[in-house]
Amino acid sequence: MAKFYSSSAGIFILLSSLIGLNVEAAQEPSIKLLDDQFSEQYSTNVPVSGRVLAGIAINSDILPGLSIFIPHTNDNEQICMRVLSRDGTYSSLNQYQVPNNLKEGFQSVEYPSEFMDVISSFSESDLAVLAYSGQCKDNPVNELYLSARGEPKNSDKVTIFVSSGRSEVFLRIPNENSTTDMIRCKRIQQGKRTGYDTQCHIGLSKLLTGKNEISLIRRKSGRMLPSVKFSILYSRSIS
Amino acid sequence: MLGTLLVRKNRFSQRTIKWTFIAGMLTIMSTLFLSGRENIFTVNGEVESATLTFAENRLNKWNITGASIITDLDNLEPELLQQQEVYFSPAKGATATVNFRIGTKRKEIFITVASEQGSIGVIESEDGSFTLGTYTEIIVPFEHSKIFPFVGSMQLGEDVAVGVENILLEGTVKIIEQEFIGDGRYVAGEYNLDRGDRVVLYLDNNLTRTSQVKGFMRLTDNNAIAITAHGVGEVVKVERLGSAGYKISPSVWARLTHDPLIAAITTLFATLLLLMEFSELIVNLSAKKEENITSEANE
Repeated sequence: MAKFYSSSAGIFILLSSLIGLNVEAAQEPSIKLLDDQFSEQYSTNVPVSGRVLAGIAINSDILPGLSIFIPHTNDNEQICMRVLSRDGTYSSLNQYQVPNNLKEGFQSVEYPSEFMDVISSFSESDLAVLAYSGQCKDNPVNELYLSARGEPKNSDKVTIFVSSGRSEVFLRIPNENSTTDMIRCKRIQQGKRTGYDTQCHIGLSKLLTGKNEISLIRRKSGRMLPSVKFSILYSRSIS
Repeated sequence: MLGTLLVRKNRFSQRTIKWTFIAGMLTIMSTLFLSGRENIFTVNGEVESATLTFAENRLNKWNITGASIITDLDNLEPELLQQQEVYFSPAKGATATVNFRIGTKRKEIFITVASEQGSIGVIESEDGSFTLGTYTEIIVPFEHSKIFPFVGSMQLGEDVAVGVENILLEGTVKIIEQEFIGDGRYVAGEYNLDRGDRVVLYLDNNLTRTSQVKGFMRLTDNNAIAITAHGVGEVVKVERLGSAGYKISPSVWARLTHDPLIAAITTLFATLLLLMEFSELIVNLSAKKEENITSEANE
């Protein structure tokens, strides 16, 4: 009888380790950190950057882990990814290396955070991810990638998170008629807004394949603040 | 032997009465303490900027005579409203942010109104009325003190972040709670707000529904806007830089000290309990004395 138990336990351990290996293999992130050291902060003593653009995301189910939509890759391409919570308590800034010949689509990103529980507790509008081509020290950011938390939904909504300093925010986006459309953004009313305070929603169908040159216009007490120009890299294969 | 049994039975019934009384008292006190009451919150503050989301109410009508408006961001030249008397009636759901714009030559009241749900409201004058679009800026030259009444949800102050220029300078939150019986009310607490706080009144503890408040803002020579608002609610959420913020709600202890009925019943129960203890002590002493006499007689 004892022999039966020990052999069953052995089979169980072997099966478990095999399943474990399979899961690990399935969860292996496609885009890896450039450095071994992962840089993040979580504190109620909020350090806040003055960056206007806080993040761009496509609607997704909230799962542990982050992914970025890669429409094309260049050899030895590097991506910088900033993550910031609405209340400003959590932030991270890390440099990633995109492997050559990576296929087009949403690719999971290595994110060995100590605060995964905290990140998972943030709702869709409580965490902004800004991923852009180039070095983290580059300023201003230019070519932005769409990001998602977990699996992207079959959704038609892209959200741009903005730290506007409580100004009125508008987006000027190109359309198929070679003119532009103006979209008014929405101020977040609930909770603390130290990290960012505004959300701009764009229909995914409004984005054109390739580079979408967008202007972010801010107006405060009757005066125009400097506009922020950026482009979203997009491909129709996402939808 | 019979005497001892009777004393024991007497003690048992006394104990039962005592514990029944205490249980009853605790039930009554719990009901009085934890019963739902209507709380009116009064929020007063001096702010550099106020944000309101209007409800449908006739009180929402602002005199903006002499104002200029900008309705199109592609044409930023303000259009002067030349009528003798001009009023702005906001639509339900429109959000307005009011602040002063102080130039070298003149001071202006600057109102930004926007709506997610369509028109932001109507401009009315002796020439008739016209409906505005989803976004308008209203610039009113400041010539004398003005009062803008409002009904809707309100946030007092802005939470401090990069680029924020207008904050709450000072303020108070007062809770006025209904008495357990009758229409009487008492002040259940008064809390001071710090500079830079942001305050919103909610109808529920989960902070999902904002309360509709009635109030007014007073715009005077002072560069800060004075706001007073009253609303029924459950909790006031205060956002404060460098902390997780906190909630203000009526304290149970405030009921004990301020509600006359609860204060009276608590005093009555305490007195009765004391009397019961005292009477039990006397009964016990006399029973012991009787027991001693009986045992001495038996010996």
